[in-house]
Amino acid sequence: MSIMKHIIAKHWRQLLFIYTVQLGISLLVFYLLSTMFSSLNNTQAYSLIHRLDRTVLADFMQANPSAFDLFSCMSMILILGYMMISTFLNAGLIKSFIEDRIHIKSLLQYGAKYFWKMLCINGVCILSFLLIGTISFLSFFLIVGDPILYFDTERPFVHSMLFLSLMMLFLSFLIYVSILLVKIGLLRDLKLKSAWNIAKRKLWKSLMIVMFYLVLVVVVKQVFAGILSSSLSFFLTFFIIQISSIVVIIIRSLMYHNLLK
Amino acid sequence: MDGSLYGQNLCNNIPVNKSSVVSDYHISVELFPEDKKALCLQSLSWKNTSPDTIREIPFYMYLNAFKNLQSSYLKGSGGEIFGRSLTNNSKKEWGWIEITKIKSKNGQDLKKELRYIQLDDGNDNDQSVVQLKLNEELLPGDHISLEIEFEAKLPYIISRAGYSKNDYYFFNHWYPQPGVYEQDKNGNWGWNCHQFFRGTEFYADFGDYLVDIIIDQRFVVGASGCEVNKIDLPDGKVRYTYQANNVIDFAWIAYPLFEEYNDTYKDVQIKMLIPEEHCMMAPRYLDAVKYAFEYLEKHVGPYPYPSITICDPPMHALRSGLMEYPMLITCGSFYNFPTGIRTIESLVIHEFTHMYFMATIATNEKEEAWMDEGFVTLYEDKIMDHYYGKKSSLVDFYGLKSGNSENTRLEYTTMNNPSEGAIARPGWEINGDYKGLIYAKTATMLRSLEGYMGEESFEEMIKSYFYTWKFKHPKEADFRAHLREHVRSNVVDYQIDYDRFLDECLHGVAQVDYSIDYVRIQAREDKKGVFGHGDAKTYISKTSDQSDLMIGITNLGTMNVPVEILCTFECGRDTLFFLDQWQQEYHLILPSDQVSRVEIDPYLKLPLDVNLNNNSYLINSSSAESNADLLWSSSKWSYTLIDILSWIF
Ligand SMILES: [Zn+2]
Repeated sequence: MSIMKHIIAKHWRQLLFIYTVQLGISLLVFYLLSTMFSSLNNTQAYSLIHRLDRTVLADFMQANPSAFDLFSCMSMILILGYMMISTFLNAGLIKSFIEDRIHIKSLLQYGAKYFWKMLCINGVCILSFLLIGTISFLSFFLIVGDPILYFDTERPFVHSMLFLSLMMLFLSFLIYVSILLVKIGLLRDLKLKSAWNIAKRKLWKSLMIVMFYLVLVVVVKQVFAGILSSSLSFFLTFFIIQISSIVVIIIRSLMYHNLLK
Repeated sequence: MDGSLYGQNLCNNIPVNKSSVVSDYHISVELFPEDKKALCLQSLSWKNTSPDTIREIPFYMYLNAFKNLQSSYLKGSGGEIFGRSLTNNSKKEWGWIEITKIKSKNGQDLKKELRYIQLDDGNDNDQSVVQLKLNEELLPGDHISLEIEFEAKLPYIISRAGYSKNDYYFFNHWYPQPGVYEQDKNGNWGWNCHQFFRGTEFYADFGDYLVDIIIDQRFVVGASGCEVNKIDLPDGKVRYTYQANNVIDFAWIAYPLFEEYNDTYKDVQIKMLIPEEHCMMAPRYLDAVKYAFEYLEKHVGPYPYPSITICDPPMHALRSGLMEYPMLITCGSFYNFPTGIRTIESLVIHEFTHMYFMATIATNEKEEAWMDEGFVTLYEDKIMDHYYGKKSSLVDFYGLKSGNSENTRLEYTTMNNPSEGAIARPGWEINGDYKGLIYAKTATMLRSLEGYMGEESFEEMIKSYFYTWKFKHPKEADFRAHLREHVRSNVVDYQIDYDRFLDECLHGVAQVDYSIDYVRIQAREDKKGVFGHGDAKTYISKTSDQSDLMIGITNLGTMNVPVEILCTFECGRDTLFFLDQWQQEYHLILPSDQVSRVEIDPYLKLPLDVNLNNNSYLINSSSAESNADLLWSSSKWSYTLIDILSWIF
């Protein structure tokens, strides 16, 4: 409780700033979609608001084959754009926690200072995930073709695939937490090597911490999704979404604070 | 349930239309696992039901399709078929059938009268049809009796028939079976006995079968029909006797590692053979098959046979799966297959429905494949959607949903080229997306037909079609004549030119895509002043402040068919129009501008329309309610993404 009070009471300006940036992005997405929907003017398009309808999507893709490329291109730009923003904001926030600075200005200064360093580390993170993805994909397709026919049953195949998936998941999680710890080390102005050494030492404890907060955030998001799935007015919907966004930011800040201890 | 009781009392009390039975088979088969071969003795009695004198009989010898790479079945496959390479096949892995002796009833040897014929493609290396020249003419109404000894050597499964690991054996199209002597399209009598090609299935006449299967007792056996006897033989073998009456074929399967489940639907025996590792699927299969029983009984007609055997092959024999034989179907599953993905149910329902369309209404699967696959796919869709939920019957997995009939329509509309060719063609002429055309487009066409006729009327039509044509071989013309007669003498929702519709769908390649071209409000012209002359002069004092709604509808495809239009007014009232001029374009004028929504085919009676997204127009589209929904859904996606990215980077 005291950490929470500490975070909210001291760093509220920075958290509010991050919240505002996220709100801007999500309003941009809402604006793009609502212009698209109101220009489509048809009931089929509106059904997409409520659920992903396979017929509507498939008919759309069939009639507009290039639309998917356009859509994936736009999503890619949004994703890459927000990845940069997030790298900047996280660097600024964690360094502000380390230095006990509370103003938005310091968040921006630290963000700018450590941006490239953090971006490189994030690049490593993406590469490792890609590598893990490729290995899983290849190992799956090596077995899924003819070789499976040489087994008496597919049971060991299913078990090994399940085991492999769990291992890959765990490995990804391990890489994620180690990289987070290395980032913290670098933000503490340590050399890469000592940052890595500290990360190794604190790895198991940090795994537990991150796991706890990840579970917490999933539970919280589920609760909010439950509230939002009942039909509410426009303003109530907007209000609840804002609350949920703020709560998730606070949980993430708590995790960083805990990892810094 | 005791094996020997299985079906014994059921096999004989099903009334069958004996006039359809042309052949009588008594086959004795003994399996020799080490040679992957069976030695068989077949007594065949065949009746000439035609007005012609018969001088020769062609027999299907379909195991010879797997004899070498030069058979018409494997030729042109490049030595690779269904993802399996045959170029390194050992001698043991090829399959064949060979008649070693053939005698007439009076003991006369007829072997020298056998000759392989290749009437379809002239490929001398193909031995999938053999012709027996009769040394005596067979007069109309007469029988011929033959004693045939043959060897059936199974291939390592290439497609359906064959053997696999751990002594898995699947015998189908494994015995010499006469073709069908019938009238062709032009009314001429002749043999219909095509060679075996990759793209085609089967066609045979009705017969009664009594089959003795002699096999090691370690095997679990399943077969068409009912087990009517089981005798333990002294050398560790067993003789099972199976009886199947009034069926077009007989298949059997043997595997020591099958688990057996017995169940019933009313008086019908259900036997499920499933490898131990798939046992968790058994309840899913049995539920699905019982749903199919219930639905088809109610909406098509009573199940015409005393039993059904469902075989789920082990993974290594999956190439023998997903196929239908009278009273025996094979399906396909996977260890711990997710319950939300119901392809397993969909497939077993599909194969089971073939007991109606293929086994009972025995259309020619080679020349008119749409007549079984299309009707079967339609009922597969109906059964799946009825029991598992319309929009989620096929897939309901972590938020991803898809309905079976939805999937069928999309299999047609998303074909690489939905106009690649007509449906009504022989199987060997179809090189493109066979399934998209024969299964999916036909089923979608039938659903559209139902849309015009109305559900009730369509159901009555199908019921009487089944009743009239069971145990017969209807052709396209027969179905169309039946439909024509039904429409003429019964109430249907819309009286349209049904023949024209079927011509367009079955023999044409065009698509339909009605779209709303424009919706606009136009002020009525001012009419103030004096109008008419003499006594009829009228003075209109007010200018009109009313407007008309102009609606333009265009077919972006070239297949013009009738279609419904629904206009909903702001007061909630609505009006349904039926545009039955078979036109490319329609221009409607409604004397009101108070319309809130215009929809083409609002009740999805024309699923053939390849793009449903251009079928509606909302005049005032944005409402606070839909905005809240959009905000919630877009935020759900954008915040999920934002959160993931913020936590990782
Ligand atoms: Zn089928």
